[in-house]
This record gives sequence, structure tokens and C-alpha cells, in this order.
Amino acid sequence: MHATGTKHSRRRSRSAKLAALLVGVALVAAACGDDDAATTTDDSAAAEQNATTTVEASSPAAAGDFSDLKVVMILDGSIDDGGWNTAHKLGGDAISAAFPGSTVEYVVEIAPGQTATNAFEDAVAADADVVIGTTFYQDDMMDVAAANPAVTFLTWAGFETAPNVGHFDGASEDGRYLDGMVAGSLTESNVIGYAAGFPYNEVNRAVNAFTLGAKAVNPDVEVQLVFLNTWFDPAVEQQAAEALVNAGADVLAHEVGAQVYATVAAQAGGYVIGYTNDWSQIEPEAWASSFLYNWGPYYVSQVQAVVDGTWEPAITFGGLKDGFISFAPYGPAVTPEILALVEAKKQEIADGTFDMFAGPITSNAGVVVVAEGATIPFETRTECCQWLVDGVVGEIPG
Amino acid sequence: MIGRVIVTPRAKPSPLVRAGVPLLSLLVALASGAVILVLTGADPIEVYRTMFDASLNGTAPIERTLTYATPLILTGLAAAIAFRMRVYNIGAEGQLFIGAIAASGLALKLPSTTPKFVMVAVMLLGGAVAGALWAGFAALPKAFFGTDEIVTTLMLNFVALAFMNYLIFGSYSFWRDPSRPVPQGNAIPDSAVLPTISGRLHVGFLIAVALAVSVWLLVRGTTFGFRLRTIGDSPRAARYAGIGVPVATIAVFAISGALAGVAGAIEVSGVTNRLDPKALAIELGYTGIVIATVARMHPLGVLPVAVLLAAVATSGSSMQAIGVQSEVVVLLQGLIFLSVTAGEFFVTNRLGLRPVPRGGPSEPVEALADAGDVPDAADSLRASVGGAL
Amino acid sequence: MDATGVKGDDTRAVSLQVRDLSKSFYGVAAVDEVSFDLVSGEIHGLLGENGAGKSTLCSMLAGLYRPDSGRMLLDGQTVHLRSPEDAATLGIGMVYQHFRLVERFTVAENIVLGRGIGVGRQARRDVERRVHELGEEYGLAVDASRAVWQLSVGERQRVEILKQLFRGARVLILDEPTAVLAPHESDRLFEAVRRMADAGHAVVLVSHKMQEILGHTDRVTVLRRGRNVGSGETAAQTHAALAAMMFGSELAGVGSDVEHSSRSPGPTVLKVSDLRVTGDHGRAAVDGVSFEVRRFQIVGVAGVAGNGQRELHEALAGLRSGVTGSIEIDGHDLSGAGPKARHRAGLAYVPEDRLGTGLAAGLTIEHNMVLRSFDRAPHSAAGRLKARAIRETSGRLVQEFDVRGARDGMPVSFMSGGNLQKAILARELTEDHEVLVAASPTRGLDMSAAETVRGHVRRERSTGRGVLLFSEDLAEVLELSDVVLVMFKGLIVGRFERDDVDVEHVGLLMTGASVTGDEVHRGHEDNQSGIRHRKVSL
Repeated sequence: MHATGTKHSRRRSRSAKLAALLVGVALVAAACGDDDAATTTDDSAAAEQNATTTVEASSPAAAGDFSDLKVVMILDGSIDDGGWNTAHKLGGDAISAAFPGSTVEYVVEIAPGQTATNAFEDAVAADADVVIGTTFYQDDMMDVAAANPAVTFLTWAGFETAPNVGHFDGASEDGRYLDGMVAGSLTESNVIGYAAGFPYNEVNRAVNAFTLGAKAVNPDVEVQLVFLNTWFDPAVEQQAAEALVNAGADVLAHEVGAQVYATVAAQAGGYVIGYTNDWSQIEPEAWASSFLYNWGPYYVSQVQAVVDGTWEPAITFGGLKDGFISFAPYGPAVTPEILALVEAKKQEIADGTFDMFAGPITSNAGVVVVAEGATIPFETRTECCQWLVDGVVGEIPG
Repeated sequence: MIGRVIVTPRAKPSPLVRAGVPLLSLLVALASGAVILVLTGADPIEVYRTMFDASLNGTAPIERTLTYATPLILTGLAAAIAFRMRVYNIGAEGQLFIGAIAASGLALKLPSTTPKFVMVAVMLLGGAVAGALWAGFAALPKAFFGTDEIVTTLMLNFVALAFMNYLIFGSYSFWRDPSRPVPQGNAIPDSAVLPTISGRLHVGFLIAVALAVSVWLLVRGTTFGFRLRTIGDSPRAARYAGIGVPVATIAVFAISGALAGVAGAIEVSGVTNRLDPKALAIELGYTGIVIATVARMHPLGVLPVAVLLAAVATSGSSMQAIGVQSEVVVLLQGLIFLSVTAGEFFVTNRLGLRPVPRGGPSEPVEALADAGDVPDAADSLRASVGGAL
Repeated sequence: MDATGVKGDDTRAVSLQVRDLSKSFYGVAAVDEVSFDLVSGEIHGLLGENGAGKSTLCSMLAGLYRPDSGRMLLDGQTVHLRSPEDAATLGIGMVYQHFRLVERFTVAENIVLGRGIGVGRQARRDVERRVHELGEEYGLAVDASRAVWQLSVGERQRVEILKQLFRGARVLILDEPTAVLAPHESDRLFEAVRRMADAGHAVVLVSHKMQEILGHTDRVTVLRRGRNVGSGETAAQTHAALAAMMFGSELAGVGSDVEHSSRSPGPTVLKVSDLRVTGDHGRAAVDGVSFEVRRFQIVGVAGVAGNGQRELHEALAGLRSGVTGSIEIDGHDLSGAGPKARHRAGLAYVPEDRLGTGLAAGLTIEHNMVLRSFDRAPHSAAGRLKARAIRETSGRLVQEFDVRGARDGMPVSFMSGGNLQKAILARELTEDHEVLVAASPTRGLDMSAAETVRGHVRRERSTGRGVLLFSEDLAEVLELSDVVLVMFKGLIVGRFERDDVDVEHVGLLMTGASVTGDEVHRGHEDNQSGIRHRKVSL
């Protein structure tokens, strides 16, 4: 995501900035209520679980005056995109709430490259204590970090170590598996359409998790996958969505940016699965489910450590058990029975009692990619996948 | 008082007007921006100081402004030379991508032990050739079949972007670093990185300035430039003079594409150090068209305009970091650039006020088709702007 | 005005007094405190060279320009004209040199255009009837239901005049009305103008042609350099007196030089055989012409505009595609050659449009002076322009041809027509050219500039070059040419040696008026030049 979400937001915000801001804020505000409830549950889960990560229980800081504390968040798109960037903005709101009097500024529309380097420098010049970069800015900010050892930097998906730089990423596959279960339960044609942008590890892994989830509740299901080779192109996406419906899909899932999947699914009388976005108010009848990123607990814990003087650099890869993943409100078609099934599995994943990548797993080329008894450990998941699981109709191009 | 504004072109603007009007426009923009800032609850003085500090005040801000200006100078030149000959190449965007792809490919392909001078020269040359060839896809149909180059170059931009995205995000191509979980390009070797002049400012800036001077000399001092200026002014006079319009069209396309290609190569070698679609696809090519237009297609005029635009653009994040909404930042940036652009109109045109004895709104003056009696008026633009003043 | 909004001809008496009108452009006074009077029933000539301020003065009378200072009194009342509409409302109408008609519309539609008159059948019939009546009354007959594109130039001009009469113009301003007309059409126009004056209209006739002023006006006002240098009864004027006023003391003996080449023509320098040129609309604009031009000879091509002359000279210059037949210069076949090769082979060409083809309007005099030779020594070497050599060439040519008004870095479009033409001649008449093809080289020029250009044309002949001269000014063709060719509908329909020219005959051939039948006797090749004749009956 990051990439998808950010690109999406950037384009859309440029075309209708103010309108999007108003509508977006309104939608996000409307959606927040339900979200927060889910977040709280996940928080408690996260508090008990943190075996492999440095996430500390994000107990709100003791009441005090944090007017000296300044956090600057740098984003690739605008904070009203209803997806990737909005999720980070909500994380920023969590910081504001946890540290009364503190300042959180958002620097938006910052493309990676020298523009990003400038933005990191400007954030430091504006007296930031913590600078958060929400897309892949690592190559642009390491020098700035080195020149400013007193400032703490958090960036998404980086890997180079430095005394004042922490990296973080979320395991979308945890959410994607559960979305797949919803899709597998809802489909009557046993064909689910899935439109993805570019094929690389994170995308492939999410498709695999989604398909495994769908097949877990419906062994006959097949996932029709198309790669669109674009970050955001409503015309291309519209065609793809229609093509998938014509191929028999009655549930549409996606990983690229436009809302067309919701409208096409609604017109076809089918369902739509979101991707870190909540379209429950846009096509209420067709809406099924979507996982969301939930960065608040991580951000608050990191800032708290900075305030306490206990902050240590770390690379944090967080999943459901770490509170990094939450869910949008489910649509009306998701029956209590389905919901019960999904909630149970969510608990198992959070508990660590269920491993979606436990072998045997066969690829759609018929190759055993994870042997019986083996698995893909959580820590090395980002190295996966260059294969597509059995049940996916489609292949990785190139 | 009821009056009418009469606009007449100036044959030659005086130096005072040349320098004074843009400065005045800037002040007008800052003053009206201040009103907006006050309305949104910001302190205009603080905002402007931040803006100035971030873009022009001191070595480091100047370094970053000039770094940002470097590709804009080149895409501005690419547009200026083409538009001057009425070749509407809006494909600098795509030609820049292709130049970047070629340059990064060469940097990754050549032995990393290649001497820096050779390496960088090969990259810049490669970028130029690739950009020129890419432009050729639009140039040949234009030259021989009159195909509208606006459409073709625009389409080629999309194709180039899709191709670059494919190389990094869509495949494990030669350009892509397979070890990174997030799709990224392979880093080019140190020998392919442009030396820096000061801080982050790399020698690409000097190359861009040198190319601006070269383009100026080319247009001014060569027979090729002579042809180009003639065609740009009057295609019929050019045919009469025996100037081959198709050949000149292809040549100007190639030069334009080469300049944009060099911009891509310099960005790779001096800034991104890898093929980085997201860092390159920030509309440097399209911005070049704006720059060239404001610079009135003058190769040397492109330099200050590109630097001004870069200063305005690089200060954006500093204003956001002190809490100015991004919408207001964009508004301020637009205001400044628009004012200076609009000011250009007053540099090249003269305003006169004409009282109207009888009341009521004025009607536009009908253009005079035949004013042979008045040598000066024969070619003059007579427009009536505004009504009651 | 009747119920349908059709406005009638207004012949109430009118008087216009112009007092101290001034107008400047860029600080240069175009009209400088000019006063004159105009009354019903008179044709008032406005005489002056190009650049004397005639058009500017008329534009002020017609509401197109607003005077910087001065007054206009209509029937004793001061009037302020803010637009041509204001002028029209007050009964002042102008007929421009370039017509302002919509080609696809009918005459009636053009006449009511912008008048807010209904387009209903009854309204249209009323308009057509009224137009017909006006036409009958003044001798300006034209079929009001025809589309303008079907009309001849003379007919279009009539439509313009009728338009003004229809709108109730009492003061009519005609700007160089004969510039576009054949001789017999001019005569007809002057008859109509006289009738209008007799009916009570006041007419301003703008012209730089002395004969027209002397022959057809009641009073005359002479402008020189924006100033009124004399007004009075035309009958009291002489050609010499008016010329003296127009040119002051600068120009003595203009037009007296009618010297012709005493020697007989030399060998053929330009030979054109069976040339056919496809026009802009895909039809044959030049339909097979053959002729030759010899050294020490001026061959003039007479014809009303639009009969293939433009296509012919552009084809000779190498500027057109769709050309068949052969073109030879000094025996070298140049049929397939481009403009540059023809120039190098000795063809000098003065195109019809000075700005646009002849000169690059937005560029400097230096640039334009080497437009044909910039890529050769001494103006460039190895692709680099030699600024000093270019400046020297330009300076020399400017000096030799007395080109004035050029300034450093200034686009040539700011220069006057005469100087533009001199600039083109300066560039084209190089030492090594053999033949000059000149298209309307004096059009729109004032008398002295036109005379200068004619001088250059004559010098061409005396230096052993051949000249092919295209001109719509028949008098000019007759004055200069040793051989006159007449073009009509893409063909050469007559050829006259200087001593055998019959003006009447030429005029008729030009307009095709009395050619019997529409058939051209294609097979009938006459003299050695292969001219095709139409049968003519007077």
C-alpha cells in the first residue's frame, strides 16, 4: 500500500483539492466512530502481545503539558484520501490526543526524491522533535537524520540503521486473509475478481493471503487476478472491473486506487472488498469489508519513548497481533454467521494460534512452495512472494 | 472616472520596465497573499520569512533551490526552443523519463570502475540521444504527415511513464534492485554520481546553465538558429528563403528531446542516484512549458524563471511545517507565479488611459484590418481591456 | 423605418465639420490638427500619399479610432463617436478597401447582419426589395438573394455601399474604392457615387490617384504627413498643383520619366511552357500558359485579381506544389527545383505579400536582408553566422536602396510599406540575378515609393535582365511593359506589343466581359509565344 494509496491520493487531491478535503474529512469523520471501537479492541490485544516487536503498550502518557513537543508528518499524498494517508493522519490524531498541547503538523504532497529531502530539512528547521515519513523516504532522509542526531525519525518500510532512525511497516496480509474469508463466503459464482497494480512481493503476498482466506471458507473459489500496471487510472480500472464482472466475478477486490470497483460491483448486484479504504457510505449495498492500517498505537508508543528518553532505534513489522491492522465497518451482506467465523479467525491470528502460511502450500503452477510442516515466518514474510497460490487465476508477468 | 484602457505593444521595453515590473508584480502577489494568510489565521511575516529562509536565505537554501531548478532549466529550454519554432513539443516529461532510463541503464551496465568523467559523459550523452530518439516518434509524423505533435507527444508521455513504472514496479528488470522489499531502482555506482559544487548542489546546475547559453548561441549565432527563427516567425517566408521546414522540424524536435533527456540523466546522476519513477514523475516536463512561456521562449530568460519557480516550489514544505495548510501554500505559490507571469504582459505592452466623454460601458474597439496609412499600427494589437476604471 | 425594421435611404441634407482632429500612434502624429468641411451633394476628395494620414482620418470619422483631440460637428452638433455603430447611427458609413462580408451569406443577409432585423420570409423579402430599389436608384444593381461568394469584386463593393445606404448613411466614406476594380468598373462606380451626391449624400473619396480626384470630385483636401496642406474646389486645381501639395518640394517631376528601352530585346531568359497550377481549392488556377521573357524586356501581366496571377508567380518562384509544365531560366530547366535553387539560378522574386512571404515580419532588417543568403559566405561559415558581415550587407543594401525606418533590434513590421518593398528589392536584386518576377510591387505604396520601385524595374531592363511584372494597376502595366499579357480565368487571353496596345481592348479582355461564348479556343495557337486567344467582339 503505501505506494498504491499514496499515488491514488496524490492524483485525486490535485484534481479537486478543496472539494476532496471537505468531502474526505466528512467521510472520514463519519467512518471514525466505528473504527475507533475496533482499534480499541486491537489495542488491548496488542498490549498483551509483542513478542517480536518493540511495540510497547501504548498506555496514554500521564497528563501533562507537551507544548514543547512537535511532530511533523510527511506524506506523499493528501490526508483526505480515505486510504493510506488518512490512516496516518488518524495516527497523528492519536499523538495529539495522547500528548495534550503538542503540535502535529502534516506536510503533504511530498514526492520522494529531492522534494522529500527538502521537506525533512524543513521539518527539522521548524523544530520538530519527531519526523514521521509515511512512504518510502529512506533514501531521501538518511543524510538529514545523520546531520540532526537530536531529532528522531520514523519512516515507513526502511531498513538502514542509524541511531536516530526507526522504521515501520504493517502486515497487510493479516487483514487480507480475513477480507478473503468474507469474499469467499459472499460469492455465489465462486469467482472473485481482483485488480492489482504492479506485481511485487507485498502485492503478491496480499493476493495469496486473500485467496487462502477465501479458499478456507469456500474451497471451490477462484480468484481472477489482473495486473493493471498503473497506480491510479480510473479509465483502465473501470475497464478491468467490468471485464472481471463479465468473467463471472460477483465479488470485486482491488489494490489499485479508484472507486470504480464499488460502482461496478453495485451495478452488477455484487459486492466489493476495499483496500485500506472504507466505502461503506459510498455503495452501502455492495459494500462488504476492508482492512485498515492502524498506526496510532505505534506512533504514540514511539513518541512516548522519545519523551521518556528511552527511545531506541528498531525496525518494526507489525500485524494484527501488534494492533497495526483494523477493519472498516462490515457491509449488510456480511451475516452474523460469516462475521462470527471472521472474528474467530481474527482472534486466532492475533493470538498466534493460526499461521496462514503453514505448509503445505501449492502455487497455481502446481509447485509446492511451502512444504508440509514448514511455514513462512512472520519476520521474513517481506521476502515473499514471487509466486501465486493455487486458486489464483493469473500469473506474475515478466 | 469613466475610462478605457488602451493596450499597445512596446517596440522595445526599457531596462527599467524590464526589471521593475516583475519586482512590482512580486510585491503585489506578496501583499495579496498576506491578506489570505491573515484570513486563514497565519502570520504573514513569519510565513514569508520561512519561505525566504527555506529557498534563498543562506548557502544551503540556495543550494537546494538551484538543485531543484536544474531540471526545470533544461525542460524549460526544451520547450523554449521547440515552441519558438512553433513546434509544440509538450513531451519533455516523457523524454526526461526516457533520458533517465537510458542514463541509469548505462551507469548500471558500464563497469563501476569507469572513470567518473567518462561515466558521467556517457550517461549525459546517452540521456540526450534517448530523449532525442523518443522525441523522434513525434517528430517524424509531424514533419512528413503533419500529425499534430501536441497529441503525439502527450501520448508518448504516458507511454514513457508506463514504461518507467514497469521497469521498477512491474518487473524485475535490469534497473530494479531485487533485494529491496519495496520496488526500487538499483543504485548507480559512485563513479556515475555527479560531483557536487557545494552541499547538495551538483555540477548538473552548471551544465544546465552552459546548455542555456549554448542554446542561446545556437539560436542567435548559427545558420540553424537562423532557419529556426525564420520558420518560427513566418513559415511562408522560410519556404521562400528555401528553408526546409520538415528537416528543421525534426532537428528542433531532436534538440528539444535531447535537452529533456539530459534533464533526466542529470536527475539520475545528481539527485536520485537510481531510476526512481516517483522522484522523476513530478511534472518537471510540464513545468518546463510554463517556464518557457513566462520566459517568452528566450533561452537565457529560462534561467531566472526556473530559479524563481524552484524557489517558490522548494519553500512549500517549509510553510506546511509551520502549519500553513497545503491548500494555502499552493494558492500562495500560484499567486506569486501568476503575478510575475501577468507582469510580463505589462513589460511588453503599454497601457494608456482614454477618458470616455459619454457614460456607459465601452465596447471593444474593432480591429483595424487595413491601416496602411499608419506604419506603426499595421501590426499592432489593439485590445480594449476593462471598462470603467 | 417600416414595421419590419427595414431602414430606408436617408437623403436629408447633412453637413460635417471636422475641426483640428489629431491622432498619434506611439508618439508619432498620424493625423495632426486636420480640419475640413463636408456638405450634402458633394464628392470630397481626400488626396495624399500612403502614410499621409488618410486612413487614420477616415477611421476617426467612422468611429473606429477615437481622436486624441479635436471635434467633429454633424449638422452643427458636436458628436463623439465611440464605435462604428455610433457612427452608423448618426448616418456616417465607411466602405473599406478590404470588404467585410460573410461569403456564405446572401447579399441581403450581409446587409442586415448585426442589425437585429428578423430573418422571417416577409422581412427578407422587404430587405431584398429595398436593396433592389436602392440598387436601381443609384446604379448599383446586384441580386440581393445571391451568396456573396458568387459575386465579383465589383459586385461585392456595391454590396458594401448598399449596406451603408441601407443603414441610412448620409455621409459615405469610400477608402481607395478603385484599387480593386477594372477600369470600366471604376467608371461605373463613379457614376453611382455622383448619383448619391446628387441625391443629397455627402461623399468622401479617398484616393492617391490624381486622375480620379481631378475627374470625379467637387472639392479636394490634400493631406501630407498628417496635416491638411490645402483644400479647395477641384476645378480650380491642376495636376501639377496637387502634386506639389502632396509631395511638397521633395519630389519634382514624378511620373515624367516615361523613357523606354531603345534597344530591341535580347535572348530569352525565362521560358514557360504549358504551365498548369492547381489552386488552393483543387481546381486548375493556371490552365496551361506559355510565354517567354527576354533580356532587356519587361513583360507585364494585366488582369483582375483572382484570375490565376498569384498562382502563376508563386509557381514560378517554386512556392507551389501541383505544378506541371516547364520553367526554364537561361535554358536551364528548373521545373522541379525548389525556391532556393531557382534563386541561385538567377530568379529574383518580389512576392505579393511583403510581410509574411517577402519578409519575416517579426524579425529585424538584418535578418531579412540575408534571408536568401544567410547560409553562404560571407554571411556564415561552417554553420556559424557572421554577424559583422551580415550587418555590413544589410547596411549596404539599406543605404543603396534608401530603406528607411529600420532600427536596431526592431521587427520590420514597424516599417512602412514603401520601405518594406525597398528592402525586398534590395535583397532580391543581387548582382547575379537574371530575371525579376515582381508581383504587385507598388500596391499600397505612396507615389514616391511606387515611383522608386518602378525605377528599379526599369533599371532591371536597362541592365539586361528580363522582368515579369504582375500588377492589378493597368496604368502601371501599360506604362512599364514592352509586352502586355492579359490573364483571365487561368489563361493568357491576349498579348500586345507595346506599340499595339489598345487600352479598351485590354480592359475588356481583363474582365472577360465581351468575350463571345465561354469556350476558349484551346487549339488555336497564335503567335510565337503560343498565346491562346478568345474571340473578342466589341
